[in-house]
Amino acid sequence: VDAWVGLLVLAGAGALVGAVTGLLPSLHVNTLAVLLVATVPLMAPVLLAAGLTAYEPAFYAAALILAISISHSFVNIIPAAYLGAPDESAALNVLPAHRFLLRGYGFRAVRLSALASFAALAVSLVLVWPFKWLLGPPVGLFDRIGGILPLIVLILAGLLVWGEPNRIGPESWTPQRRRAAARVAATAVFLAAGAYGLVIGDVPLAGFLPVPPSPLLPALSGLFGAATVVTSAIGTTRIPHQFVRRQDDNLRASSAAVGLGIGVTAGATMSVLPGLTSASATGLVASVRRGGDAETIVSLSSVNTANAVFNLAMLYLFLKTRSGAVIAVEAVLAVETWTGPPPHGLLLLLAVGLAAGVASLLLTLGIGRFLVRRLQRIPYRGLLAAVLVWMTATVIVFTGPWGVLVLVVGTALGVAPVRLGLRRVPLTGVLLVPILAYFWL
Amino acid sequence: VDHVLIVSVAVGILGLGVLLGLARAAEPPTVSIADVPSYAERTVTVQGHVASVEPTRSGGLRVTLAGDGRSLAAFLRDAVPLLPGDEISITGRVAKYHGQWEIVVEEAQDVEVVTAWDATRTPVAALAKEPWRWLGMQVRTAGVFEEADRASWLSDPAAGARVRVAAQAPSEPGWFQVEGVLTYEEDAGRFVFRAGSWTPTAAPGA
Repeated sequence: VDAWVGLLVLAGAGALVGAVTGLLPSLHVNTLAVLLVATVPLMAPVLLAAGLTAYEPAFYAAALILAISISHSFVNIIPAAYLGAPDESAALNVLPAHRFLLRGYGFRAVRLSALASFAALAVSLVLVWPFKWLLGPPVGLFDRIGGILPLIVLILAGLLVWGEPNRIGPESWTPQRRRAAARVAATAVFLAAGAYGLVIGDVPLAGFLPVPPSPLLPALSGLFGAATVVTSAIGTTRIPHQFVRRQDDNLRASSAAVGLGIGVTAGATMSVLPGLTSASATGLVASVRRGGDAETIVSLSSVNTANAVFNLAMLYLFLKTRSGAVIAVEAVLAVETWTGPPPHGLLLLLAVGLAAGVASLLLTLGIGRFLVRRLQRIPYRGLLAAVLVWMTATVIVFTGPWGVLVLVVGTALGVAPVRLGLRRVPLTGVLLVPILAYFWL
Repeated sequence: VDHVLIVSVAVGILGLGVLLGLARAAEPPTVSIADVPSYAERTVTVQGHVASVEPTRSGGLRVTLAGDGRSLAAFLRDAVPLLPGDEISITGRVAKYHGQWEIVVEEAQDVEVVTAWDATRTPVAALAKEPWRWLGMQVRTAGVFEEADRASWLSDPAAGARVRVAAQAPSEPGWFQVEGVLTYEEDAGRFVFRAGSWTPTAAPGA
């Protein structure tokens, strides 16, 4: 098989797998990437039988992982919008997208998100070059900020908590007092999530698959997935009629451009900062810009896809791994550092990413349209209960019985801010506090 | 009164306490060198052979741990008496340093020497079968010196194994206890045992 045809086939296959992982709440692409790494030795005969011999099996595995991560970042809007059950990277997207659903425009949210993800992918692929020049020679920003990274993370944490826009407390209180109460409550949620993040790393997890159990799987499934499903189940009894063709509002081009710009910038920034995932990036975006629901969906969807591209660039530039998918790529591929002209391997992977993006756009629109028409025929609470059962089963398989306890505690912590009337952003303390502890303790 | 909020806060606080108790009671997981990257920022126990030891300016040690055909750097904040060849078990946090995964060991008590280096336990068969494991290490072994195939060899007839030895070989064939370093010749693509001393010895069981 011709080398390019082989890569295109792989991009399509990765997009299909990513569509499945994106649709299944709590099955994060990082989890799947670990499984893929374990199966690389088994891939060689399959690739040989399929005529894919132009590159090493390890390269095909890396390309597949990248295609899956790109596709996952497109499709995960569907459970976020239709079920209110996102994975961690789509966590903050859930409210605006779910509001669209409750107005009858669930597919509009999916369509907006898919188009924004594709635009972010295209823009990010071009911006990889300026990204290199900015971080590496001639500007060399990455080395300059190395010493103040902990401070940046601390400021980011402060922004996430003190950017809380809501007010809580009795109506008799002054607006300032209610705002202060919201910030205090957000700080408490941030610290509780942080304590949770510190503790779960040492909980003895043992799954039933031959892959290392990650405490983040039950933790993020609980905080952002199960908590949202529980909240949806309590608050929503039926789904209104869904319009597939009609649009309820027109997103101005300038608003879309601003949302895209903020999303891509945040996605790039987060790929530079250690340990911050797209959940934190989405939190930051939500803190700095409060546009309408449509613009919010554009910016938050852009973050996730841009982040996937820039994470790959960080691997080639500085051998830094900023996501589970990139850790998996690094595990299977001998990466050649990008100093002069871009390495051939990186260019090929970016091309695979673009092809996977095209396939993912079509898949997201197709699946989104197909499912939204059937959503009303399914008992909504029954569907949500099935999602919770699925999440629990996934957690047991990957992390064992103690993983369920981590899931339950995460769900309880995730429900609290919603019931208090706060954003879910402070829950990213689960990632930020352990990073700050690593820097300073 | 929001009962859902009360239940969630109660479960959250109680659950955090239970998780904390579980975490404190649990031993760090023992993982293979290959799986270390999957445990980023977590505390793990890793076992392997010391391939090299270097003191650091801060008074600690930088150790290269080998096992399963892979190697892993470890930074020990406290200096611990270690020798290349020791089989050790270390417990520390997984972190990245200059783009490479390493284990950061905070205290000397987190380093356990499972099997101290004992060169007499390095049979020729082990050198021949897993040469990368002993690469660069000072090793003491015993075997028959012989000339064959236009090269010098140290062999273990019982195990049917042999390693190529460099010059400074003894003039007579026979059983020797040998101390030296296993090296790799890039150009020729082969492992060569550079013996420093040859001590005649009796054959095992003689």
